[in-house]
Amino acid sequence: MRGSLKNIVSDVGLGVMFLGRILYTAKHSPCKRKDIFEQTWRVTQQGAVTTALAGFFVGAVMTVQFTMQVKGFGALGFLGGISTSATIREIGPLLIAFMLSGKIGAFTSAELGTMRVTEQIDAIKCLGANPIQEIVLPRFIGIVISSFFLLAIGMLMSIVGGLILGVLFSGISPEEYMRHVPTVVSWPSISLGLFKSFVFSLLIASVCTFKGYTAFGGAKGVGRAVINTAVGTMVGIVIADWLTSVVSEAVGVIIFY
Amino acid sequence: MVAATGRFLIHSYNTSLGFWFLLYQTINKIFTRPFRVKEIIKQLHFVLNESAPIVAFCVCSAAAVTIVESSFHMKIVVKNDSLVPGFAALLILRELGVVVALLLVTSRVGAGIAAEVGTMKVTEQIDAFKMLGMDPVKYIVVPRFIACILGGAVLSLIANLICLYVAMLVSQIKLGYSAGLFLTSIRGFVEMQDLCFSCIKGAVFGGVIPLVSCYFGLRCQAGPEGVGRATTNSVVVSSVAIIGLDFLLSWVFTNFY
Amino acid sequence: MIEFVNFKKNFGNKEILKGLTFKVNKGEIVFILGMSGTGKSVLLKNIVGLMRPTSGQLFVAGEDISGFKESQYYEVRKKCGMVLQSPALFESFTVFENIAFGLRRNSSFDEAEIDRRVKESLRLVQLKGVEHKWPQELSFGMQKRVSLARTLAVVPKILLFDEPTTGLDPVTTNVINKLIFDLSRELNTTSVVVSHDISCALDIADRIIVLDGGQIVAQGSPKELVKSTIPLVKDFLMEVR
Repeated sequence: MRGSLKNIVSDVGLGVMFLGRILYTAKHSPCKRKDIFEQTWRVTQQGAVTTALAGFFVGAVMTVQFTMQVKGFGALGFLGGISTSATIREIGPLLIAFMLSGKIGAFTSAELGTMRVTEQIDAIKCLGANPIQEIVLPRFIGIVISSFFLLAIGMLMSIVGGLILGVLFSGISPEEYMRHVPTVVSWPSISLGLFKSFVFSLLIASVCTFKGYTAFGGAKGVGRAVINTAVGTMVGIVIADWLTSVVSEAVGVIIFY
Repeated sequence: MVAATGRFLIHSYNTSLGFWFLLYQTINKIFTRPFRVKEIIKQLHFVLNESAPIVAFCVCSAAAVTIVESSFHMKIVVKNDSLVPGFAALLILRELGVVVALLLVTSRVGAGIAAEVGTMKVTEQIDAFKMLGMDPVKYIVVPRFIACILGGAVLSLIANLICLYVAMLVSQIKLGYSAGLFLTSIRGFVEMQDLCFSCIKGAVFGGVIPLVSCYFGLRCQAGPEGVGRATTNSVVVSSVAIIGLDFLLSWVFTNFY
Repeated sequence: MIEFVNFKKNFGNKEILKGLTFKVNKGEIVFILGMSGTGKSVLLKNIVGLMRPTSGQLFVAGEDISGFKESQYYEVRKKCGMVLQSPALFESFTVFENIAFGLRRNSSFDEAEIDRRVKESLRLVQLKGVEHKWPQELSFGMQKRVSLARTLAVVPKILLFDEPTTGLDPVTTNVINKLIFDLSRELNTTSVVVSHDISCALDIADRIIVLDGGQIVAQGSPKELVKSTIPLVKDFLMEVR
């Protein structure tokens, strides 16, 4: 137990140092715009279908679960408002982060890990180029940027999913579902959602590039890197979710009182 | 876009065909001798040992966030937070506990199985199994399948209990409810059957994970990138399958209240 | 060009190289022989900074690089070209882009010049019409030759080869060995070759260094080594006779 704790601490420390290296590189020797566009497009394209699918189902589940309870208080009109608000503040960013971590995080770490164990990263160094600048930085920035596009897709789909189930399952009209959305959803909620997804994407981008870049030991090593990425990002996301909630609440208290 | 969607549909159709066949084979071979109880126990130990600490840790954060978020929404809709414990308990028992726990199992155990089986495939160990007259499905898939079903049920139970307990703690600290008040106020919202349904969900999701992972592991292509791709695919497909199945089961279970 | 002075490298507590001192002169071809796991590849990787020495000094082109930072190594790497053990071609690039990679990063060539140089280096390794193929479409031997062409394209002063001919057919092996020899004679390139190909080492090497247990057990010209009485060297040369 003590040994594993030590490993976790040293892993986190090395990860933060790696993030520092990426940011240093970004400042002193930025990569090409074209590479960033390419990576952003690739990540968005790859994540779109899964995020949309997952978003739809989560919106649907929220509606199914809330319906019966809200009905008990005669507040069925608020169903749409609550579902949408919960999606934007909390479930949306969390869900996108989980999907990003599974799809993009694992994929990127597998890709970088493969480059590492097949000596492609060494080859880049031998050709006098900086591998962080050439391959890590575009992916890092690409993931952070595309997470906003994916967030938009996932939220839209989860609202659509909630709406459809609201009509099919709870039997309320779309107008009624959407009526209370503006009352419940506020600008602070939206900015909280955006802030959360930004933090999550930063976390995913740094964990997956770090784990992939430091992979070793053939095919098995690539597998290990992917597992570590998946676990590290998911645990990190849950903790970051809690932290951002606490911080935003504290900030909210300062603003409103 | 249309072409991409079409390719995606065709690909998922082919994948699901292979997947159903693997499910059929697995269920067929559960009841043939030898039963390999030792191997099942070993796998069960792996599942619980690997994921229980992470699950316990993460649902704590999730519980805290749930309380904070539901109190935010309750204040908007009902203008007081007397219903917070009820709603939080409802969300935890019906959705959050089991889904968060099993998504974490996917990233830890699912990815682990895919990487392990994938490496076995790449290093021709699977072929060696076949040459020795042993059926890979019987010897690799079946023990993991049974272990994950049991492990999923147990983990969802553990996750629910810890999550409820932490929610109780947090609502005492943040909202000033005593433990007794918390427990009485959730009585109107949740019942014992919610816990049972949650365990059933856990078992079903648990069954999906090894099947998906073994499916991709057994079809792993040569080289490090093959193992990476198998692991990535298994994480993504299991996560989406869990979220989709969650919706389906939630709908089915609403008929029993 | 390259000089090792009391050079040591440890992995954790395990000593891999235990104090090497030798020199490689300009234009020389030096072969490093030894059994697997004696740290031959480690030696090469230290020269370009893929690994760092534990202690001792290492001079490349007159500079002591043993205390260099990562950013300082870029200058060293521009002088050295290293052919890695695996082909390590970039899978997301075509063969042409793979070879042009180093040219685009380091020099101020225009497209026509890059095109000319890529063709030239492909001609050197005797490959034709593969510019627009993907690395995955090539056989292992061809991949290895493209990897060699990628290193040669930037015309480095020092060439490091990590088992350039392992796993290749005899014809390709001869092409590569002849190439190493010609480059050294025509362009005065310094070459350090880690290899198991002893007959070739005897043919083209100016000097041969035999490593065992992290130390130099013998060094000298092929003619001197043939007369050597050290058991390990004799075992190595047995294979050829």
